[in-house]
Amino acid sequence: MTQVTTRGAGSGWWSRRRILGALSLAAFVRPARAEGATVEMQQLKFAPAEIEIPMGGTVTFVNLDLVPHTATGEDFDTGTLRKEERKEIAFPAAGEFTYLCKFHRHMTGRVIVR
Amino acid sequence: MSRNLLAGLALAATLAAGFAGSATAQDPAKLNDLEIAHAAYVAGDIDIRNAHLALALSDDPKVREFAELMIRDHEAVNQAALALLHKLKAEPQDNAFSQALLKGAHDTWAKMVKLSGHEFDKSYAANELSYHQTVNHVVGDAFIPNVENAELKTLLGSALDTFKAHELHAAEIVKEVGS
Repeated sequence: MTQVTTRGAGSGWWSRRRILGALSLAAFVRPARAEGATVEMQQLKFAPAEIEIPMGGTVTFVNLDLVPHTATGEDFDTGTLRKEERKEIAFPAAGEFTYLCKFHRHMTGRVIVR
Repeated sequence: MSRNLLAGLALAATLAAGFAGSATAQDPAKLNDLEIAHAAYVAGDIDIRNAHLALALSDDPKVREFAELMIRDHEAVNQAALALLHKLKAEPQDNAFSQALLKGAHDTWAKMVKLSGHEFDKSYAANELSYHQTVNHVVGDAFIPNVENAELKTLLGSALDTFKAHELHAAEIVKEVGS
């Protein structure tokens, strides 16, 4: 497992550039951090309607509409979210998880966990 | 033309008459912001009362689910409207348009309360479709273009998104309960 060391850190411009380069590479190789995944409920739609996250990641559903919504799938349920309420759901296993708002059934979405 | 369709058209005509009467008394495009807020609230409250009537008289799961949705959504929109008015320290103003809406609703309820079973379900579904079509037309073409307060305009826009979804849903219910 690669570990970040502190060798040379703080010793000047060149070291800072190498550290930034290493961090940039790490960001490129690793999947996006799960806590950044957000699905908005707005104008009676899920946005984005389809989202891909790494295994073990989370999706935060946030309701920006006036009316209550849910994100309800076979394996998860946010429960009722009123205006400006949010709920974080963890996805520990890989797979494709379709869901809908149980109040407004035309509202559908999908979480892809890889 | 079937009796069911005639009944639906009669209900739609009753509702339209309410709007037409109000248009004579007070053009919805000429209401001020506080009158628009009042009329929008009354329109939502009427549909909540329509839904309570449906929950009292219908055994159809689809009709009842739709009615519960109308109560949940219109209550949320009306609560948001009241919160905005409270924030603005404003009082909604009663007006001839709101009164015509209520008059039309009372006429509709007087007819619907005499129905039961499938006849009620068909009438309720037809009324919900025509009501949302008419309200959406008024909100989209008269209220939103003319309202001056930016926050009220935004709220009406968001509400209209919801009401358009209701209209589509009502059209599905009309098909499902038959004509």
